[in-house]
Amino acid sequence: MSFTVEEVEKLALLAKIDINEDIKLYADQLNLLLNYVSIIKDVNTDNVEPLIYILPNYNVFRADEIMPSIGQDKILQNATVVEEGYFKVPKII
Amino acid sequence: MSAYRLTIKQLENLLNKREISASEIVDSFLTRINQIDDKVKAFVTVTDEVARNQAKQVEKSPSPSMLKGIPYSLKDNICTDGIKTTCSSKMLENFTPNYDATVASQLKTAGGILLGKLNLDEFALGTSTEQSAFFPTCNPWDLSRVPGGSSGGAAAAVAADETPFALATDTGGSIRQPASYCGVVGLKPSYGRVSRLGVMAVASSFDQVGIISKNVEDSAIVLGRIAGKDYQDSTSLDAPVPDYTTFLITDIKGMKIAYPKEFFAESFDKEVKATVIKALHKYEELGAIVEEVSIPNVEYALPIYHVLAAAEFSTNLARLDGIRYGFNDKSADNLTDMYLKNRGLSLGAEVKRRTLFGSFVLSADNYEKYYLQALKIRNLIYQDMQKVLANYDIIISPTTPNTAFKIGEQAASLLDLYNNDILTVTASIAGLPAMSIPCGFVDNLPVGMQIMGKSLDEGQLIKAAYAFEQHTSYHQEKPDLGVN
Repeated sequence: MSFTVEEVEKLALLAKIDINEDIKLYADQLNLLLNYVSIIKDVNTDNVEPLIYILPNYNVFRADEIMPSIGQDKILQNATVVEEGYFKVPKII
Repeated sequence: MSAYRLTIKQLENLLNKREISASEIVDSFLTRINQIDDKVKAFVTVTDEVARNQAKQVEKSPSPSMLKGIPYSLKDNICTDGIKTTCSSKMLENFTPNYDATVASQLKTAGGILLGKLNLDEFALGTSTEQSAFFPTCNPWDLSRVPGGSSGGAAAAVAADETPFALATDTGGSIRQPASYCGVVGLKPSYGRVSRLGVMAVASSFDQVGIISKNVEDSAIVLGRIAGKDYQDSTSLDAPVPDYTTFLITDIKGMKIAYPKEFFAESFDKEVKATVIKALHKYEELGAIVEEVSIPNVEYALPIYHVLAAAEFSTNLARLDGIRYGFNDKSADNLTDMYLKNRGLSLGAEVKRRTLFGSFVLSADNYEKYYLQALKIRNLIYQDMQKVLANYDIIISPTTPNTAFKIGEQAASLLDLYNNDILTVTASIAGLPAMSIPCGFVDNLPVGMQIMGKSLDEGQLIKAAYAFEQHTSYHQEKPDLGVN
């Protein structure tokens, strides 16, 4: 398996990142990285459970109490396009 | 001696005796920053007005308490209410959070005084701070060299006496590796020990907030203030927080120390290894039992880290779309184009690379081969570490395989850059606390020794680090920046 320019373009679209620089360079670097991590495929992991979460925490509960929240104006202050109290995005449909 | 040279404890003593005021301390640091940060370039934002006002507030209430009137700085991925938090990225160049991260709020409540926000590799991805979208930070010991990363700004600022201490984050070594390169103390607590609310996520199953300080005592003082359960962070542990200053004792007779042979590999710098081995002899002199062990799966640590961290990072990064906050190009006429442009135009090459790689290992065809397999090996490494720690109190290794390299030197080699984390990722993978302390010099550049321990047993790390520090003087050495 190795990355071609077409595959990087497809991945970039999936990850929603425009790669406006040299795509070939990205492909080369991703191949380097993939080659480096491929050593893990040789490890025998039969009967080994994946370690998904490292802590003993399970179902963390807290009291359902009303707490102060950040106001709408403050939430909207970092958005660049706002209209009538909403975040505005380009037409979707 | 000028106030900016002093440790937290020394500043506190002067404050308690009323020999200095909080405003005088703040002025001393702001003057220092003004004099040398043009060279070091540790700060993204200096909050001089905020600092002066906070100092005046502190002076109004007379009762002394821990950290009151003591300045600090924060890595610029820790949210501060009303103060820009950029992650050293064009994406968040103008982002002003409207709440404080829990750790920032804890220091504020304690009466600490914020001096500013520190430079990092963009979104904390990197080992040299060269990936900052704004400027690289320089190593105070040799300005032509990197300070390490991603918390390069934090380590450089502490080493250059621009701040008494800093809070930073560590995902695969981002506190320990720069602390090592800059000759200061870096502590990454156990996963879950400190709240991460309001801290920009890199890889959520690894990230932890920690401390960079001038000595071990200061690290113990600050950890006591920030450790503990935060009801707003469900991954923070509800475990008792000991008084870490009670571990500041020099008697370590009988302490059992393991050093894994894999952490002293042939390819690592000989003199760095020799410096750490000399430190191990010091521990033997102090009455510790020092033995070689083997952690066979450690060779897979860095590869699985790059699979898992990239996967988690690409997921975390999905929130950055420029709609609610962040860079918005505003020229796109449909939603997909808007995502592509906002992210494409504002994110740096390393951020893009890891996001693409993360998307790749999580895709349906590759999930089992890479992501799931990495999680299984994570379990093997976790078990390896538990086995060693069942028989030993701490594990010691070099923090990094080399000393600080020249700015630009590794820019061409991705794998060389990644390799700087090879000794620090293991503790991150297993969620263990780890610390880097200065243990010598090679060619006038600091060498760091890494001390790893059992989960939630930061006390043992502090004890071992303190004993070494009190019997050596490496932590008192200062870089010469031409201004005194």
